[in-house]
Amino acid sequence: MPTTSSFISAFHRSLLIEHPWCAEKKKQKMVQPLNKNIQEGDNPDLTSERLTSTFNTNDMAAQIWGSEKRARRRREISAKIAQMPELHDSKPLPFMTREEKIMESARKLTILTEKMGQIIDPTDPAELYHLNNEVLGLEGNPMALHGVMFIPALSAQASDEQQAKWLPRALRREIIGTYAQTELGHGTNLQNLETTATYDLATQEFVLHTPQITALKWWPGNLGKSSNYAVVVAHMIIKGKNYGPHPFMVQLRDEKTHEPLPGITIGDIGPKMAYNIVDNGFLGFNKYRIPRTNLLMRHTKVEADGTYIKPPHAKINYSAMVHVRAYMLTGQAIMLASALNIATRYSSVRRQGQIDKSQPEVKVLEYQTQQHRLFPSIARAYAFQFAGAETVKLYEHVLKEMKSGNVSLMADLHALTSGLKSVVTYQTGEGIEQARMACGGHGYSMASYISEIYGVAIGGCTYEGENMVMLLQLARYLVKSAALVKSGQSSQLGPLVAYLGAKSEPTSLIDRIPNAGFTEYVKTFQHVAKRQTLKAAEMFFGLMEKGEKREIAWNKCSVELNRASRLHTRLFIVEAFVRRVNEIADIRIKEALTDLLHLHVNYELLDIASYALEDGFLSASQLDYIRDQVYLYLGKIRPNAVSLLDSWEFSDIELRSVLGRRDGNVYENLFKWAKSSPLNKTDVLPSVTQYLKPMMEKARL
Amino acid sequence: MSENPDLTDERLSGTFDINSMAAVIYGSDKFAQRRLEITEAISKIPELQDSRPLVFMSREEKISEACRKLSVLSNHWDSLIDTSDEEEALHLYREVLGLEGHPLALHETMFIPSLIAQADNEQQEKWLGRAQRREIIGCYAQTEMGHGTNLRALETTAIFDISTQEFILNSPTITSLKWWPGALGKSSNWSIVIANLIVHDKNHGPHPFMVQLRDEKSHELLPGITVGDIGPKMAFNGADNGFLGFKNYRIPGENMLMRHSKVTPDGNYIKPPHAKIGYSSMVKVRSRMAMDQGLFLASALVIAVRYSAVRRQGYLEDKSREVKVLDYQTQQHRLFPSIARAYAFIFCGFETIRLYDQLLIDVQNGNTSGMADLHVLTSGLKSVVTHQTGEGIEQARMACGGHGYSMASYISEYYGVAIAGCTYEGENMVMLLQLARYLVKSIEMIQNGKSKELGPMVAYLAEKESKVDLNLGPMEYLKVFQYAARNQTWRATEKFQKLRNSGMSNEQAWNQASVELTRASHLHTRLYIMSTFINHVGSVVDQKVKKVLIDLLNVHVTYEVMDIGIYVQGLLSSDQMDLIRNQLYVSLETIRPNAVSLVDSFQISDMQLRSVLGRHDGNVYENLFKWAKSSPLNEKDVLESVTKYLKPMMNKSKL
Repeated sequence: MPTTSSFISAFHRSLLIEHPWCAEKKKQKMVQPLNKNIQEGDNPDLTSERLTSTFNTNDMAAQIWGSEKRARRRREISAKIAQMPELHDSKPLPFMTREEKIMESARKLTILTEKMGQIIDPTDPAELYHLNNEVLGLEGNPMALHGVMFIPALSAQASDEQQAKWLPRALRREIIGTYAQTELGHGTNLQNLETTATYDLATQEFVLHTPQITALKWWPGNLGKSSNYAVVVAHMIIKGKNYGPHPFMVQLRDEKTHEPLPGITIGDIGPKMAYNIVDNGFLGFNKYRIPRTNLLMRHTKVEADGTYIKPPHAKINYSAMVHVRAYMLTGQAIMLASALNIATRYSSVRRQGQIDKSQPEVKVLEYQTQQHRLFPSIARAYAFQFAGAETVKLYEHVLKEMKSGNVSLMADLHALTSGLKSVVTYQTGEGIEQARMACGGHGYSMASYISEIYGVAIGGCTYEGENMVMLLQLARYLVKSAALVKSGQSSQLGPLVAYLGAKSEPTSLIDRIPNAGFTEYVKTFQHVAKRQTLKAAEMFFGLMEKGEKREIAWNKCSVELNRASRLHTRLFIVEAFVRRVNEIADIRIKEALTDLLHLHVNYELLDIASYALEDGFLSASQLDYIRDQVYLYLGKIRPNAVSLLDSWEFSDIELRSVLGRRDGNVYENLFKWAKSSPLNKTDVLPSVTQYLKPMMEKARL
Repeated sequence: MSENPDLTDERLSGTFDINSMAAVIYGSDKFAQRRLEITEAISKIPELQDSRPLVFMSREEKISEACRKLSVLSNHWDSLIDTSDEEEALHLYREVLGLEGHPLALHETMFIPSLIAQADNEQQEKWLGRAQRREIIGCYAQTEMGHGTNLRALETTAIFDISTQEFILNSPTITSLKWWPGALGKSSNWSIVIANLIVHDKNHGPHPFMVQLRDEKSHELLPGITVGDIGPKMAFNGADNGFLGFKNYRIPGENMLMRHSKVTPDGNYIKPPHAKIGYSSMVKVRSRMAMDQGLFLASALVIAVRYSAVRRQGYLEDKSREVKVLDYQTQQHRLFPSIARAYAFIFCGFETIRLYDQLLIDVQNGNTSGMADLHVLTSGLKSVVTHQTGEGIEQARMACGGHGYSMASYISEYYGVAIAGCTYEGENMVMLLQLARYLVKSIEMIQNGKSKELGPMVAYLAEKESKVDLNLGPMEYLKVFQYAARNQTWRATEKFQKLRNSGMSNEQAWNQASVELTRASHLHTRLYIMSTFINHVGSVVDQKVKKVLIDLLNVHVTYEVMDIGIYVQGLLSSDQMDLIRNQLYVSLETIRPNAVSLVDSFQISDMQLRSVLGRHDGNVYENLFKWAKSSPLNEKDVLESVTKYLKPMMNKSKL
């Protein structure tokens, strides 16, 4: 289907059925609006925003989602879901208790188990991801870990024989599983896990045991209530020798009754900041016995007589981590864009104050402070999405290289994704909160749903590697690279750090070369990242030379090292954005994204300018220029603001936000939402009848 | 159970007496002492404890729990506190009711004060006693669904009907629904309602009316009134924020609050003698907010710092035992500058209230100019403090790793409550621009050669920059901040003036310059915070306390100057920046042995803290397990979601 006529996408077709006037209108109009989200009955304040779009939102969606086909499939899937009421939230999720939310999610899961094939191609992870976002939402679900951890762990770590036994059962959902590694007292540091699996030669069993309270498995998703199996990581001990952490397949609950098996203590870890649909759990073993053959034996083996057979090569397996972190970027970008979608639509509907006293109240989106809160984050959402796509491509490339024996690149990429994960989760959280506050008081209501998005997104700063630890991982790589530069071996630098060894100019040429494009900006980011990296590394080397122990010296430099990691990562994000915009052929899309990129490079550079001012690389007048550029591009983006977010094509079902509704009819729906909220089921609450009324009556005596 | 030795070690390394520090924090020995006594007395009354963790409760349960405690409290009030002392009452509320709001919050803080300020003597006689005895429960309804900051845009009308001597209240549109007032939804039976007063078709603007909402006996809604709860929020879910609509609802003519303006029976509107904006209550509320926010931040830090002294992870030198995470520089850098800010905010709160009390005397003597100055200062203060508090709380939460994310840490609840302060009592951007207006005016005075008339807080704007010698101590850092604030204020003002001179309207030029203007306000406010901190430390007598506060001040000044690095170019050389950087890292190490004691000094009881991670005894893990086991999902082993959906699904697959 040609993109220019994709106005009649399946999604919109479904809406046209309900609204025949829409087709009518189409005939009357001379020019098709480029923004494809306009419908009759929309709040005119939002329609007027969409009419100023300079690009086709379907075409932009193709950029965002990677291809025209992918974007179209998203719309088709959303349209199908829209027609299946049983897959819609039976009431707003914020009105439910945790138990109700879990019920609701389990209800939808069983329907999806049957009907998934009718909606998506189940072998396509991107389609599955979109389906989950629409139907189940972002607060998790009772089988989240089954698909993303349990089955992959069996595939990667169980032997062929073991796979034949368990994998089909798991795939058919005869059993529900999870992956239990983290313990109450031990997260990041895997070697310090305390759970033991001691081999009993006599019975040929492993005896699982939780020696003390800090050894309780703690946090694994769906462990608490939903799973009946888990892959459990425990220290394997044979004949008194500890072979370190290994994975075991462990049955937790009776398959018929779902009751916990004897020897197992299991439960939910309680309410969390968000993700409350997931039953994160705890798990303790009291001399719990499993067969020897439940050790996952694809890599290591233990024979009946207790002979331990080492894996052929004991290399750290970065690949899975890189994979997860690369995909986290997309997830974070989507959450940031969702929050901005809500805030930007609402800001064009909300009117407050006057700029021209003779006119009515203005849209709050007219205020520069509001634009400054939102637009740089829009640029970041795009940047994260593009950087994520590039990282996934890089990952696939590196995987191929690995097959031909080149493993060094994976370490490079691993370092990069550690940094990306950390910078992106942090900036996403920041951007979401700013979006929420940009909605004023109503942003604070769960009707905005932004605080839930924040709660879920910010979890990413901690899981999959705590951000400070991640940054220091990248720093290790950067310091190694700096050592190469120092010893004159710059030619050996990997492609991602080559700039550390390159010569740089004494001052930035930003504003000195007409039409320089983004080259001078990239050079300035490179200069700053290079300077901080070499400086922090020098600080570390210096302390070592003074005789500090390596770990102590490292710790004393760690804040400076993290700063280097952040700058390196932000450079990569800017470069990825530049590369993507350069590739685009469509003129209108390219123009709009170029504006966004201008905002991005200037805003980001201003944010880190003190590094470039310190050594005089940037001058005060250049800083003024950069400031002016930021304001200039805020103004340029203004007419496209709503369309830049419409282009992500989140359905109302997925957004789950009253403030962010596509039609902009916020106020009447806010009232409807509030009236149906739990406290309004009765006019007089029990708290009044039981306490407040007697209190008042007593006072009247 | 005995105290976790990891925490005891920390306490043993403290170099000062935490009771003396508490006296500095809370302004006096006596009040610090009273806080402890009140806490002690409460701990002996089991009915005043949470019947189970608040985070396990639904909203309805939380509200019921708060009502239960309120009714218990009414029997113990006098024995627990001196009821005439506002600070003691606040402490009592924090301990017993917590921070998530409660159904009488607005009755005490808005309803009664409004009756006192706006009802005339006759009206007070009629209603005030009933309110104070709690025969009725009231709230204050101003904000509407479509209108917050801009009071003049409110839509609710009160039309005077001469024939019946009544006001007719109406909500003409959906956007005119009253929306957000606390305790309006379910608990209050009366409310002060702000509506446009219309007499003889003339709109006299917003005025306050005393309105009965519910039947006093049945608590059912009165005809013509739509009331309900606005639904769940990010936090503050113990409060029933409400909506309210009127349909030709009639109230007696004498229900307009008439201390200032009046409407006579024949429909004559009598203006108040002087239509001055009541700055003073806003000033007080916002100064109070600085203190409250400081305490929120402090609470989160108590939790994170104690937990960081108990949590062990990774190795430094000694490979035989994992280190406390508090030993990592990154962790210290996350937490210690925020400790300094918490102290600074609390000191600022006290100082600003002191200034306020002083100015109140001036106002009574007819000098009101100082109050306007202070008003804009508190606008900035409110904005900077709420923003930095939110930031600091989230960093504290993340410093607790995964367990910080659990509601057992309770930090996310502190965050949710604190961060609302960015929005209520004046949205932060609007607040910063209020201050900016004052700063621009000050620059214009300098431009017009009237530097001498500048108030003391902005006099530095007219000064010349001078070289700084960072070795001379914190005052030099203050000069750096003055330089930054002065430059930015000039830059922003000149931008505004240039735009205006280019032909833009005043408002357009203002809007185009507003981001730069808010930056000026930010810097000006941070300068005030720093100078208050410095002055306060200077006034401390106890030498040991003073010593550690100077250490904390060193963290503060170096961290804050690093943070505004972009504004200090031209004043500080690259070498000086390096010096500050190194000073910061050195000062983090200096604070390290006192970190736990500095947060212990806030003397926030376990009951008030409501955090498993932040327990005073540091026995985190066993209590976390206990807490989790008692959480709602563990009431049964097999959830209904499994029985009803997941089990049938698995069974079907097995066929």
